[in-house]
Amino acid sequence: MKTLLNKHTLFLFTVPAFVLYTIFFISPMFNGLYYSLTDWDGFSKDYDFVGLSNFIEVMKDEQIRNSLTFTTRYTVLLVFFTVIISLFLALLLNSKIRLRTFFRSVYFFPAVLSLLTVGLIFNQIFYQVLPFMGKGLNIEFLSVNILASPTLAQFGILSVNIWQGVSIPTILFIAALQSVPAELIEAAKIDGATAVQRFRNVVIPYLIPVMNIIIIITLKNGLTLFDYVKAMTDGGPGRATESIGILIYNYAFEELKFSYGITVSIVLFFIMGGISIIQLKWSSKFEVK
Amino acid sequence: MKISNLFTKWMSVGLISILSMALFAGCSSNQPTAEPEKQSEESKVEIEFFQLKPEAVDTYNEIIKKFESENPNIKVTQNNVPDAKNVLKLRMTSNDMPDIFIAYPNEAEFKKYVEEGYILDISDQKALENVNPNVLDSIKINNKSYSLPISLNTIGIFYNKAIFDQLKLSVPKTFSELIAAAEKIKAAGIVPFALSDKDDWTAGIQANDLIGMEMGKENADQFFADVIEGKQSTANNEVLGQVADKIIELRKYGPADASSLGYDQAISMFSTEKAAMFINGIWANPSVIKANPNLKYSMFPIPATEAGNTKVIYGIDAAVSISATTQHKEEAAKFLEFLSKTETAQLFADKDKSPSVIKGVKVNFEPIQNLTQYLDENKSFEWLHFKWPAGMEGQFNKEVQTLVVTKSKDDFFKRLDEEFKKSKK
Repeated sequence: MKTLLNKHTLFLFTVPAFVLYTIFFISPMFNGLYYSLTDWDGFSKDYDFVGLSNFIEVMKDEQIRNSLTFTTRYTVLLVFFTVIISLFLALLLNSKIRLRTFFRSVYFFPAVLSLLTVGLIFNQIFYQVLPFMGKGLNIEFLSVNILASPTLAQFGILSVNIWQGVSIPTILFIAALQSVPAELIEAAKIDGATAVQRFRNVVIPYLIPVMNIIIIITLKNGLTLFDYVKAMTDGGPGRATESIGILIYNYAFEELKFSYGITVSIVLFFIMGGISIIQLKWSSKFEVK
Repeated sequence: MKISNLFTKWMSVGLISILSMALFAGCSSNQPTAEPEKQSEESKVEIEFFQLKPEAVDTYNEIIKKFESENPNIKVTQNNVPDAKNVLKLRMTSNDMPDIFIAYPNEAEFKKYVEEGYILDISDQKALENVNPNVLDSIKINNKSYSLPISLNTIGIFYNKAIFDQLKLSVPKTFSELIAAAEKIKAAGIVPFALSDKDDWTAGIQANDLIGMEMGKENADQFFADVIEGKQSTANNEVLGQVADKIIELRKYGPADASSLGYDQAISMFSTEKAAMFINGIWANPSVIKANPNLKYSMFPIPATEAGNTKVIYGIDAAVSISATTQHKEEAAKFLEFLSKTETAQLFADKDKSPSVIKGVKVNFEPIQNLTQYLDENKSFEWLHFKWPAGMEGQFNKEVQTLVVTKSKDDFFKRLDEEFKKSKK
């Protein structure tokens, strides 16, 4: 009797979250899947079923290929730099330095700001401050707004994204570093392992689960890149920084191709799901069992 | 033990139901909480005016104040949000239309709203009697009127009079004179044009104007209709090639970081005298004056290759429509009638600095005189995109923006061909 009651109670506790999740995430997803099979423009009262023709169109679309290439390259760079920099910062902030708590909060600070605010602030920095410095220091490529250059604009966005994006991974890495048992490291030391060996064979395996989460979160942030681009370049110059997120937005709201926009987002969903599964399978090999 | 278990059980059930009730109450509209407030102003009818033009907020507030003092039982709430056009569309689909809203009756999108039945037929309203009949006819859909037009827009080149005087420049009559003037300004160390290519429409309107002017409005309409059908290619059109060259040439005289500057930044460059000219619509006038009330400037039309060919492009800038689902038809119609009065329209024109389509209204604003003269002399034509399928204008602007960055005419024409063909339904 007692266990039965407990089971019910536990189940009931999941109801609110489950209901909300269904209403706000699951049902819109199926709704989207439904609309991707139509030619709905976003406001008409009726629309036709067009089957899979939206998906076929997506495969042929040059713009989508262009923004997929940009988004993929961007995401790879973002994940790489985020992991490296946040790991480096975590190692620094975990060592015994002076004002450790102060520096930890300094590095965490960007995380509390909204993406759009950060984008707009850096927009001004790129527009006013950097060219001023570039001219003063005679660095040619910095003397004009780098967001105006089709080749450099993406690095402008990337650097802002990394600046804000490393804060939470850093905290996660610090937590993971503290979970490494001190006696294991000590034992390795006694066995004569060098600092590099200790880091590779003792510390890294404890960091893998956290690194997995960080990679997946950053991957998701990179592939769904929207806010920074909207605030800083709006996909320009030309189409140089047109991320998939921006493209979907433009299709749905600027060009009245709502169902087509949804189709692109569904394709993006499958790409992301696929990458996440592969990534999880691959990295679980290195984890501490 | 048993009691405590039972207690936990019912406690949790109770908590959960309270929680979920609270959550769902949050989802549904908050009518119950708003009710007591409403009852205190029982006789007052509130209508929402969804206003799409950020630069006109103050002007409409003034008009609303006057309207409310004449009609004490009606309260008009002006609502202006960022990205208003998209918000309006979303509110349409979610059955939450504002009572009155700003519309752009020339555009293909507006015709679709009408076809979908979102907009009230106001053909028999008194408000329309005071409107220039030619304009009214030009926006009828199936012989019915769905909006009250108020003002016209057109575009031209803003120029700084002090800089022009200092360099002894006169108003350019041809495009090559314009480039020659820009060259002199550049030599004097001033940026000739405050270009803002980050906002694609600011580049798009230049192309829209130049194509219509050089090709001739009727030819251009026919040409793009053929492109949509796939009978013609933009790549083979000589005039279009020349326009693309001109658009690219103008970029030599813009700021080095033009492609990262937006509309607001361009206005600020021009009003702080960092740039001598600024190509945009007359709707920018209130913002320019606000940014620098002492600026001495005027406007001239974008010149054609041949002096005699210069024309101005125009469309209806702001019209007001009533939603088909409004609960307060009478009150909304009253507000429209108030807007159409000569005194109200005069007040609007004085503030908005735009030519009015309401009878008896005169705008006395020097900078636009040069453009309105072209309108009066019928040296004018309507925006090209009014004849294009809905959504095509945004795509066109994006392609022009890409052209000015990549400078690749071949890609530009290829993309235009594709997109025009795709836009066919």
